[in-house]
Amino acid sequence: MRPIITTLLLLTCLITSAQQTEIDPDLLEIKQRLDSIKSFTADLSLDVDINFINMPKKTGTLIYKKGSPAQIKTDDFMLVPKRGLDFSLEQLFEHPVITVHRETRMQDGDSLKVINVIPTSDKSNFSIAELTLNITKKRIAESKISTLRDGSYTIFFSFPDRTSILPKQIIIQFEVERIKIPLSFLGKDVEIDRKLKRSEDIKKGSIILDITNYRDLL
Amino acid sequence: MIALLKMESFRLMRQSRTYFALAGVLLIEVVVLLSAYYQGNEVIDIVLSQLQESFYFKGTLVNGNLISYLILNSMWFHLPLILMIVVSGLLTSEYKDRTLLTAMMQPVSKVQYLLSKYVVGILFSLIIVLLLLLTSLGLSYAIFGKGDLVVLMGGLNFYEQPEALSRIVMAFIAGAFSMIFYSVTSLTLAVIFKDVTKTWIVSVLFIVISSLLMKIDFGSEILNNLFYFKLNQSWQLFFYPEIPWENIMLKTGLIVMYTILMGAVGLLIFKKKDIG
Repeated sequence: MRPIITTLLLLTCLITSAQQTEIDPDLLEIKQRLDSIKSFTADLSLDVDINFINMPKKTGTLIYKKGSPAQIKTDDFMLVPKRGLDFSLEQLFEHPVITVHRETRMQDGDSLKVINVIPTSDKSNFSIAELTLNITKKRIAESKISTLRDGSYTIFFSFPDRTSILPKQIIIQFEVERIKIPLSFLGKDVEIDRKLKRSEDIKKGSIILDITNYRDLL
Repeated sequence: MIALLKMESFRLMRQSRTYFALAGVLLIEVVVLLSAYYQGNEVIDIVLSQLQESFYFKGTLVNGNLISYLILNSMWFHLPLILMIVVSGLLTSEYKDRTLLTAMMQPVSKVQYLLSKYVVGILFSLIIVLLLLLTSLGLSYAIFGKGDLVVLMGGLNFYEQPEALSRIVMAFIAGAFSMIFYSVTSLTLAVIFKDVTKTWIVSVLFIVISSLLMKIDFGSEILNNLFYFKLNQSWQLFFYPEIPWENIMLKTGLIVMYTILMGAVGLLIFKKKDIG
């Protein structure tokens, strides 16, 4: 009897002390840093890196206000990514989530912690997210999010210095389905490499956002 | 020769068909502009709907540059037809009115006489293309404004305003060489057939057959680049991201040679032919 009770207690301790917690404290700390930013304005340069789209670099103004989606103002035509502009991680924490610690590693002298963010509510619009937290510099290095309806995407953050929480560059990687364009569209007698066209149904693409001149920071 | 050129220019300006042709070009342009607007909206919607999963769109692609580009696409069948009718009329009307006999009684060289018609026909073609360029850009920008041009050429290519405008202008210039070829050909056909109706019918057939032959792949790059009907799409090459200048120069050079050849054939036949 005694060994059984001991085993049960040990198992309970193991389960409760396991890497699974409600919200990882490092993530909460980083989120608090991000939440402290109420608003800002910055200059934005957007580059589309998808191999069937040839678009020059576009510039505009990025306007962020907490509680609202980030806005981009521009005089040009611009393909604005739907993902990657959630600076405060509001979309991840919109519904209840739990986090699971996957690993911790060192990279370039910084301690990186990889955690999974898993929603516990059916209302959430993503199935799982993997965040790479830079524990040394208290900011997010990378995030991979699998949404329920909009596919998966990976975001890489680069920062201007050791302490800044606002990135200087965001690279958003995602999959783009082959565009089905009418062959008579805007290219009379265009020669089409049909084999190549068929083989490239799903393409990977990137959007590179360079953000500079942060101002009106509250 | 200068006197002949002045006389032919005067004759062209006096022809009512010249003004009908100008009005026709403008009318076709307005119709094409309207249909291009609706076609442009429809096609842009189809293209962008597939990117909507990943992107929002700021700005609009249905602008003056896109409309001008769609006008470019549409005009290269209608414009040669109008030019061939007007330019061939420079000679067929003289056969019909028998003024050619009177002219040949004057101390004027047959070659110079016909050459002046070729020159005036070429100038008229250039004026029409210039008119089309100015009106299409003017109307398109006035109604739809400026913006990025999107073109499917080896991928989805976006060109910003200054670059889009320069590419469209260069495309018009390249297209002008093709129009000159058709004008010269129409005069040569007029030399051969003399009759107005026959010349018009053969001119239309020439355009239609050329359009059909253009789509045939001869299986050889040399043959595909050599025949004149393969050379009339060089204007499209200006919308590749990297403009293939060598290819454009080659095609333009060849179309100029074909034009000279057509003119030479016409002059030779006219010189040897008994006008009576």
